[in-house]
Amino acid sequence: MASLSLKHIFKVYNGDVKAVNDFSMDIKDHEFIVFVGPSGCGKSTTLRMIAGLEDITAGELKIDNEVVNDFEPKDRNIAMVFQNYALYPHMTVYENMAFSLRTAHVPNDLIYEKVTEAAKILGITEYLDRKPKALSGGQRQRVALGRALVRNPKVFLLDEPLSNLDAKLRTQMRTEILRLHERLKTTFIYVTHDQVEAMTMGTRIVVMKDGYIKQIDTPINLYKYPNNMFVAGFIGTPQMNFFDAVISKEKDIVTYHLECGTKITMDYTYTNKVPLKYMDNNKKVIFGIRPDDVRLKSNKYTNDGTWISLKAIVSVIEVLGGETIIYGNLNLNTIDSEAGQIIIKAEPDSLIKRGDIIDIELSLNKFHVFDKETEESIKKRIPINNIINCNIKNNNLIIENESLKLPKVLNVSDINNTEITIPVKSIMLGSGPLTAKVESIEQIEDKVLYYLKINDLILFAEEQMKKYKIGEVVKLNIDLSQVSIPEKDIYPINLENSLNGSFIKEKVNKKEYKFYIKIGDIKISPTNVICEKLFTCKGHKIFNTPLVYRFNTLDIVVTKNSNLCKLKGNIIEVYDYGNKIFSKVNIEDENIIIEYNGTINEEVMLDINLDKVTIIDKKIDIIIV
Amino acid sequence: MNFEIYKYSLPKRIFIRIKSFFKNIGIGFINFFINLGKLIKSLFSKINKGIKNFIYNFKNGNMLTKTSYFVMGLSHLFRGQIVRGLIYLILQISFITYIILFGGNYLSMFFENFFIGGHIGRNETSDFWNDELGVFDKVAGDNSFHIVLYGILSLFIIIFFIMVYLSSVKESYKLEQNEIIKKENNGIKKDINNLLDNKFHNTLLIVPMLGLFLFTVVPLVTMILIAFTNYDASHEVPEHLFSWVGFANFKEMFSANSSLGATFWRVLGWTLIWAVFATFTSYFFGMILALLINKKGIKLKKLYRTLFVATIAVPQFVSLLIMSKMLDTGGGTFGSGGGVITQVIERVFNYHLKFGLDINTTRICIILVNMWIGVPYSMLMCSGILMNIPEDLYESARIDGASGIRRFFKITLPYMIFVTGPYLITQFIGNINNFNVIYLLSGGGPGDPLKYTNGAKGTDLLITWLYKLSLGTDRNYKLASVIGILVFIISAVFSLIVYNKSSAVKGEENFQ
Amino acid sequence: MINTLKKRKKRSMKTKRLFGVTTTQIVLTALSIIWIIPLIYLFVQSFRAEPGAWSPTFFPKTWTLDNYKKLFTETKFLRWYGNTLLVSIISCIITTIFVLAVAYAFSRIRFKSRKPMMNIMLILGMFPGFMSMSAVYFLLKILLPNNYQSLASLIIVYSAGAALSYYIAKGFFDTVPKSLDEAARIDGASRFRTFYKIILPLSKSIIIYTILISFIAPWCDFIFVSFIMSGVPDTGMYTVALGMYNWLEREQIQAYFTTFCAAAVIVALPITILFMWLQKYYVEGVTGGAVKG
Repeated sequence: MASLSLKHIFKVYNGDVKAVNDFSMDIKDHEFIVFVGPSGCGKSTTLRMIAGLEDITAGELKIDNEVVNDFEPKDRNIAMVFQNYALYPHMTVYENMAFSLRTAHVPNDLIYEKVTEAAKILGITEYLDRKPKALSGGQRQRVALGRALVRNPKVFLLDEPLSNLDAKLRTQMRTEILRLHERLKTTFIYVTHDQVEAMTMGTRIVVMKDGYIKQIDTPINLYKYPNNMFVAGFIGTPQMNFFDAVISKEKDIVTYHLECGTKITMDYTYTNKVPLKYMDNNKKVIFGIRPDDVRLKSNKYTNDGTWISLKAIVSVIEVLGGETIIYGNLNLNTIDSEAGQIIIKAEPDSLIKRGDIIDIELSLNKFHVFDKETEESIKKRIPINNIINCNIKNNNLIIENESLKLPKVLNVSDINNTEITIPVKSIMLGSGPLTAKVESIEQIEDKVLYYLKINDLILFAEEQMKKYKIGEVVKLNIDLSQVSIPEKDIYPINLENSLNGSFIKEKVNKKEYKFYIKIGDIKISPTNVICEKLFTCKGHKIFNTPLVYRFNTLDIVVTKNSNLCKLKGNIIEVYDYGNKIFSKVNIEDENIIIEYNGTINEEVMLDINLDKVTIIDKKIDIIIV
Repeated sequence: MNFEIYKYSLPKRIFIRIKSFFKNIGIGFINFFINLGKLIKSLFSKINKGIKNFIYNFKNGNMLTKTSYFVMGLSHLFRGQIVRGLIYLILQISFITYIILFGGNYLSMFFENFFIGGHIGRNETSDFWNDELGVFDKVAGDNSFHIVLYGILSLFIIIFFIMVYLSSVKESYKLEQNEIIKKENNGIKKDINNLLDNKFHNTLLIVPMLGLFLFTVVPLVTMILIAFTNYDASHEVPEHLFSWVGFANFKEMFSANSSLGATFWRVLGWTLIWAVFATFTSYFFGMILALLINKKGIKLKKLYRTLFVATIAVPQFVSLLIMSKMLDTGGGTFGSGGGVITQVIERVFNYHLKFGLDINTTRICIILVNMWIGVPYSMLMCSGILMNIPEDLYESARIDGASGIRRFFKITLPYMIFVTGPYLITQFIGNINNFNVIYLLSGGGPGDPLKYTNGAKGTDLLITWLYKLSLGTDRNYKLASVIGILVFIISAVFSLIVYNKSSAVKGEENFQ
Repeated sequence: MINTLKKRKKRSMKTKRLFGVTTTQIVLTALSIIWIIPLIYLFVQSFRAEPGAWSPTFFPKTWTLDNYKKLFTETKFLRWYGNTLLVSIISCIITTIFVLAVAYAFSRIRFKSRKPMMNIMLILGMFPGFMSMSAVYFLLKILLPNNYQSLASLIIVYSAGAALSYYIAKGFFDTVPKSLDEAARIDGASRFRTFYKIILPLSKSIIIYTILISFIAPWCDFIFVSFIMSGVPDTGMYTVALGMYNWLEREQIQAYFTTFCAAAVIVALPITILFMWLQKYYVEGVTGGAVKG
């Protein structure tokens, strides 16, 4: 019955090989978390760090709100099931299960009680006096589970426990583990490379690759809204169909030109989350669609207009009984080539053979688009940026017919049809110089996404709560500090401030020391929490480690109270964005940005919210706190 | 190796394979030296870093830490690690006492003439007239051998002490720092627990390593140094002193002109020939025997195996001695009796076996007798591996239409050589050092004063010669040491090949 | 017609195989007789009544048990036997403990000085074993000034360097899955407990192999004992190897040859039985070591 919290967990081997990068995640009680990814992606390493079998290079691991980085495995209240079961071959099943309790000097009658109870749960009572050798794979797996069970752990860790079993047994054990999870009501963390296992078992899934988290989400969200090509390709069988493509747009009609020659034409509304900058008939994208979202044209379905018809030539047919999988090609001339290959899930009784040309339909509501270079999804559920084209005239930003006065600091000469990026979060509804109509509203998890229409242009805005109705006209403003106009070298103001520094100690008297965050010549007293974290992570070596302190602009405020003053500096530049004003402050030859309306050369006293500081080990670029 | 090689004919393929084998060995050697260079470099950088830390810690430590640079364990004593501190303190005191009372004197005598050559020790044992008793009495002088031995021992002790000192100093700084960051320092209870857990390797290793150090490392280094002295029968301790002579012994050993040099090259030649024959005869006949015994349809397999293995089970000093007596010529001339084998050969073939009289006959006999001992041994090993050859290899070969002999050459033999390659070379090194067979069979004989000097005889290996030189009538320790070093070099060269070829070293982690 | 041809072919294959098996059987029988003859010779000679080193016949003309009687009454054989047994057992215990400890440490625990230590030991192992004997001799003289030519010295010589032969045992430990250690660690067991509760019980074969090897080595050793005991007037301190070797010196062989044979039988018998009994483990160890080099 435990919650886990992993904060910026890193694993570095031999000083420079990073096996796990910045793994952060909160796991609630009674969750069934699955780590999934190809071999070598760091999923097992992460699990072993949670178990305590590997040291955590940096980061904080909490089990039930207790930092356990330095705890021995036995003190972490976890149990682990290994891939090859790791049963002690010379002990009977009973002794295997009793070993941990005996090690902890639990009285024998209590051990007996616990072991027999666990055996009863798992149905292995009759094998208790056998050696593991005399058991089948499934039974061994049960013993391994039983060995974990008797310890009453808060967290169950399972490292590819089913990969040594045959397919049938695997399915059976899968449900059994799920049942166990239901029954025990504890937290399970399960590592597997098998996406089917991940999808069927996890309440949430962590997809990993090359030491990075690719996406954390529920199985259904991973399947429906993959954040990147890797997740899209990894989750789901048969694999998602990918096609290289470019996009063109004419008025409201958007066309995907697939490299194999096929054109998919649709109304703009179906693809309005894809930023306009991709629709230049040049930028390479990947068009993806799941086999489930492709169907054979048939009288059975009525096409409500959300399906688009295409033709394909059949190459291979796999009859599975319950369904038939058709491997076809969109290019009718190249039946077996890689490009243009499409996989279709079809009804079982279709009478199709190789060489047939079939009519298929793609769901326009369910396709995915990825940037070919970054492989990131560019049709996210909640877009991050609005990337639009507009004009600038007389230092006014002209969006369609609406105009927005640009602040002095963004002194831009006139330009026509330039690309500007407006983060979705920087659009503020309610008041402002711009007016737009609410075109549509989408509820996504706990957020509301508004489709705002200014003439023909659609802008996205994100709100926490639903305030407006469809068709309503709203006023809106844009936080111009976050807008970028690449052609004019205008980029968002950096809200992350980094300062180089170190951590020092100072003697107060014979026994007492005081510790300071040192930035240049300035010393700041840290909170006890920070000290503790630094010490647990680096020990006394912290005093010799070059550090980077990173603050959010919002966590630094100007104060008049000299008692609160932590940093002093001179303002060297002021950025006036109209609704927000920032100042650049010079502190000990380093510059930071604060939200403050000051005058140049003014000396300001700054207070920092130290609870939100991020401290980074400069040498290996790892977040310590 | 790329697949293009297959377009050539078989002899050319073999030639290319052999060429690449030697090339690999060459590369292996180069790699070895490159690695050695890297090792030395990293060692120096480590030392450099160590010194920097040493100074840094001294500068930044407080008074207590600074004092414990001079009095070890002080910091520990005052910071809660009393037992540890006491151990350090006692170590320091005993080290200083040792150097003052004992080691220092030996060390100074050890190094006195080390670089310039000359006597090891100052006073030679001398006679003087004892008036009271009316006899010559001896005044004990310095013992050169003791000086070398204790010198080495003291040197090692100093190195160990420095290591302990450095770690104590590092610890004391860490203790101070831990106190600052309010981290509790491990008490004695935790230390002892650690010795059974995280530091369990220390517990496991300390005694074996101490034994190894005292009875292998120290004597070995001493004897290596003896190779650079003139310690022999005419410089016997404690009556006489011996001296440092640099590489003189090696020069003499390698010169082709001196009788010693000639003897050495002869003995070395025979050692290598012997090692090759002994290794390969045993190996191949052992393999064939294993194949025969494991053949399908053979009855009494277990009995055969037991009969053959009996020769390994019987102690060698029994089996070899009885063999040597069975081959004995008795009086030396035809018809004069002798061992049972000699007699049988005399009666059946009318030939007098000159075992122990003629060098070549003796050599052949030794190799044959070695087969008697060695074949069962490799038979045992080969049977083990033969059973591990995947059966489907044979089945697919049979389907491909390979005959029995072809199957042997194309599957069994390559598999065996691949698997037992390292074993073969280990065995080869073992045979270079095969003392028992030679010494117990022929005692190295027969001699030939024209060709062999310094106690060596016709069938002596380097190793038996070494034995005779360090024991027996021809005591010549310096030569024994030189030979020991040479045997080491030969073994090292061949071991390096194993080391480079063996997957065990490269993929150590993969086994687990 | 075709059927009969097939049958004939089949039969010919069968006969061919039968022929092959029979030949092999004959060859094996002949070879094993050759191999065992010297040992039989040794055995029968121990019952020979005629004196002298050489007998004109393979089998003795008169059989007797006198040689054995002489062995136990007139010689110090029994004493030597006891010495050997004592030395072998003690050094076997020490060696086994050393070897297993070192092998486990190197196989399972990753510590800083592990690789350098293993390399140094590899190099040490390449020096001929008794090259350093002269120095050891002097060291023993210093450590045991009064009785450096004693059984205690022998035990030290046999077991002090035992750590060097850790290799085969390490190879075995390497094959025990590491996840067992990890499972034990999660179960809360210390390294020590893991070692003696999990790893050791799993290593029966390698333990027996190590015991076998480290018992046989001192039992059969001749070279070290002859070095340590050289020039000792009291033959009562000898081990069987040294004592029996001396019986075959030119001056003694005529009187002692048959006694030697009798002693050899008594020395070889237990060790042979032990060896045959534990052969399986020996082969396992040897093959394992050979494969991994």
